[in-house]
Amino acid sequence: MILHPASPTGIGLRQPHYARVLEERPRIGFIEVHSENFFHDGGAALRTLERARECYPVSLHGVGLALASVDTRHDAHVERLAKLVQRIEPEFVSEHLCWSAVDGVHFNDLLPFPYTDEALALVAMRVNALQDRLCRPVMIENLSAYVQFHGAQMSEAEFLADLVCLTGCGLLLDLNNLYVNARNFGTDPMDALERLPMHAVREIHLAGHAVTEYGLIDTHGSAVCDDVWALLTAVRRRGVGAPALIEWDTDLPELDILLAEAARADRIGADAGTSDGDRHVCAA
Amino acid sequence: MSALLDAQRRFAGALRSAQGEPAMLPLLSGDAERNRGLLGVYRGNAVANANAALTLAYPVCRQITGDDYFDALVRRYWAQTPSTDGDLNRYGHSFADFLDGFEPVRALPYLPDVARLEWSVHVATTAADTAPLGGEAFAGLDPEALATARLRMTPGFALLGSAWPIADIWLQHQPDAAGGSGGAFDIDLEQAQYAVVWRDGLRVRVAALSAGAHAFWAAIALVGASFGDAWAGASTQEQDFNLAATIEQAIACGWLHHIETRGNEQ
Repeated sequence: MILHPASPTGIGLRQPHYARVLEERPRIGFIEVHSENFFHDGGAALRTLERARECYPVSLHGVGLALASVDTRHDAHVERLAKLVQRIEPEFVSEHLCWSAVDGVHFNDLLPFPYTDEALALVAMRVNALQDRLCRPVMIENLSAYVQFHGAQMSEAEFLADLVCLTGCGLLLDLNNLYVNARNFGTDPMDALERLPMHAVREIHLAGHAVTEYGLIDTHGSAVCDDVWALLTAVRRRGVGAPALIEWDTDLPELDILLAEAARADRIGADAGTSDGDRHVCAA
Repeated sequence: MSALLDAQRRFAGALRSAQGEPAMLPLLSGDAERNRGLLGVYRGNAVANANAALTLAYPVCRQITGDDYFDALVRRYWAQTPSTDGDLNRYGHSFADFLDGFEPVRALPYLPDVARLEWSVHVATTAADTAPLGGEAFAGLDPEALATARLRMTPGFALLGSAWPIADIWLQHQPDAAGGSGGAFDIDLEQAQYAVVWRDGLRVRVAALSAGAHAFWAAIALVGASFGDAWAGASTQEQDFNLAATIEQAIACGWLHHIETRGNEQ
């Protein structure tokens, strides 16, 4: 149900914008929410999402499944997600490539881990189980990580490429995360783009970051920077037509600012004249 | 042990406390001093996430204590009782118990019970949507059928009792309270109070209850007593207990979900 095909870019819908979006129904391609904020039996937030679902395709973006946590109980969380998916019938379901919990303590943060064969086997098993339970493919998002591990056996891009092959999952390509990592670790973001499975990209995230004494921190609290817009142009020129989304979580501005950012993403897509994705064959 | 589990345990140690950093740093590539600072960023995020969750669940407690004091309480609570669930909205149910045992809070003796009330409000906010029972459910019931009837309350309905006027405190801290939140309060802090929490459509409401009404609904909601037994109990709590007014209030507010009468379930 794409109501606004001319404006395929979506926005992250946050509580201060609920009323205006429902009243004015701006031309946006879809809305995205954090799944966990709707793991309820009822109430105002869930009602708002159901009303929004009548006007827009919805993307359920999880932040709490912690796919790479070795020692955590996933079943209850997966069941709550399955219930929400059944209720909302979203266009997309996604999660992050991260761990969050160990020994019963949940840090409720998207934490990095060493990209090893052991981790790949664990995450692939979890993604397969999740897709089996939801009876649909999910997307996994590349992470913004501030630290790197000695024990890594592959890059994140290689890890994600293998994960796509092992599970058939889609890739949620967060260009700000890609950029933040490249800047923090002194690598070329275009190099990471080369290694990622572009054929599997189903959605693109655009967001802002903060510049701190420790490097770039992924805050989702400012406008998309020029370098990240340039990455979007590069991705579009490679023929990736997956819809983009403006993500803004802290210091949330007026809705108009988000809509202007979404319109800019639309223009970049239109200028590049992308159709939907070139297809690669899995190497693994 | 799994190398991945070992890395996550070391990382967790550094997130719980700076004392865990030395065990984690050897796993990280790059400059150790910078990595130490970055682990501090992650540690700050974990506490900030807990703080955001508790601020959402306990806005009145935050107003009462002030931001800095509340932030300090969250740090202590998180150190003692971290989140255990991937859904941060579930974090903080034991905050009132923590406040009970936290010596510096003794200067605000009503704070733990205000926190209990706020958690009930938090839970009611996301309770299932239901159509409450109307007055017609009681129409045509003969006295015997009414006496043996059992009632179920709508999801989100909760009762609290306190040595402090928690309903008044909560009400006066709402944004739409007379005089505005943070305005001059006219509350007798020495007064004990019973409070009721319920969902009115999508809104959550709080009100004070008389001792008799509290005893009546507690017997029904918590013990599963029959209508007649709850009435008898309430009358011993409050000499002038007014059953008709109590039922009228319950129907007007939408507290009742279901009535079960002998041989006539509906």
